[in-house]
Amino acid sequence: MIYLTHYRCAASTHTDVIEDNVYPQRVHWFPETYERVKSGMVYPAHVLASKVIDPKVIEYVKNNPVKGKTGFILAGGSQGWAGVRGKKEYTDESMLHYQYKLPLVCLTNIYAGRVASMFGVSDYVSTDASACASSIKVLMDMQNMMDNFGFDRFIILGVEDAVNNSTLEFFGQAKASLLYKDEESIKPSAFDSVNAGFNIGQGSVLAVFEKEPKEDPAAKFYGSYTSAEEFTNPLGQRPDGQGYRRAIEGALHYSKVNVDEVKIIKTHGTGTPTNNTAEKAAITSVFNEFMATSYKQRVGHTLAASGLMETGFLLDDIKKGTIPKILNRTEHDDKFLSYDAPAVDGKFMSLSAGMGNVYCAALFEPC
Amino acid sequence: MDFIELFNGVVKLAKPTSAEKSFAVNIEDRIKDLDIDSLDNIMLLMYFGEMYDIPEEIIRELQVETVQELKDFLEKNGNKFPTDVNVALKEVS
Repeated sequence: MIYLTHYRCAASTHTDVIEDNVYPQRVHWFPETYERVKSGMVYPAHVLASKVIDPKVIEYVKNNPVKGKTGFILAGGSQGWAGVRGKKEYTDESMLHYQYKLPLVCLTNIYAGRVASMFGVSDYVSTDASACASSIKVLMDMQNMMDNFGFDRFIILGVEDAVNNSTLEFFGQAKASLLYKDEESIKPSAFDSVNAGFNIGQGSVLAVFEKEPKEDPAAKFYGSYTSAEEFTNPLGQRPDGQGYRRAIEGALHYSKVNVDEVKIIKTHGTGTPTNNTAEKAAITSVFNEFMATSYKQRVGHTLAASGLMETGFLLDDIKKGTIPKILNRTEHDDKFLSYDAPAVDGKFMSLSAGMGNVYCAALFEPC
Repeated sequence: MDFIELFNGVVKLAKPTSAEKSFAVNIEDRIKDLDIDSLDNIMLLMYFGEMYDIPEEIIRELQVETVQELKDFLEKNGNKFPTDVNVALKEVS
């Protein structure tokens, strides 16, 4: 058995409108991550990561060595942090403009090595670029190494430089994120016939997984599975949710968990029409009795961090006794929750998807 | 301003969790004896270059043996000179 022993999550409910981007849009963010970036010596993603790199967790890892090996993965999403420009020529006056005077420490691989060294990890260090699925996708890699390669502990850091001019341009151009001009007519939501979509958000997550916890663990991790689907468009999703379904069934199979044991689902829940159709089709084709929620309407889509970070939020909410509703639903819905529901005991599934044909599912149970 | 204090402050920025091993005690300490690797070294120089407003093409060619030599180089080539350790560190962090 693998346990989630520590997790730290950072996301922001504070929003501002970035007006001087090619695609003006609202973002969830920590404005302080940009306070000093114009100097070129400080980088938003590093400031964001520092919000979850808790010295107490570092101390725990260093003071409690494990018998086997320890690995570190930076789930960094789809973006190289060095050289973020955007197609528009942004100037110093641009709200999100920044430069790099230390580009070598901004490469995800170098940064991963630096953070891993903080934890004293020297057995395995890697990065993952599976876009928005990254922090859940790496759990399958982790479980493989813990099952087969002598690893007893893994530290996962999920963080991406989500709120920058280039990323906002990308999502705006793809008609994925909500634009400021549409705010009057549509609100972020998921699985709804009226409201839909998401804003981009800054977020980060740090998680420690162990076979033999030295302290009371937060959750049992039963297993994870990642799948692609038969589709030619790496930006699209099959309407029948084949990728999601494969991921769900793979995770259940690996974990030896019956469908009926899973009562709560944390969806990817971007609320885009394409994802609504695909994810709902997959979930309803596998599960009968369930409550599904989404966190992206509350904190934005934090890209690489989202899957594992939202899993942390769900754990927090379950401990408080509530499965939160999906915000801005306009219809009553007992499954894709339109109201806050009492938490139930048992296992829950976290779903995640990423551009490039990546679908992930992971099974947990609060301890 | 105490240059040793400034040096150790910059070391903390460059090596956030293992700075103690690299703290200088004396101005004559040899930098290569301070457990500063090549990445740490680049970052140290970039931070000092920023603090003293020295162009990157000059600072990256810097080769000094001791903390004293670093101090002398910065004072000779700098275009601005920090007067307060805390203010100087805040400016680059």
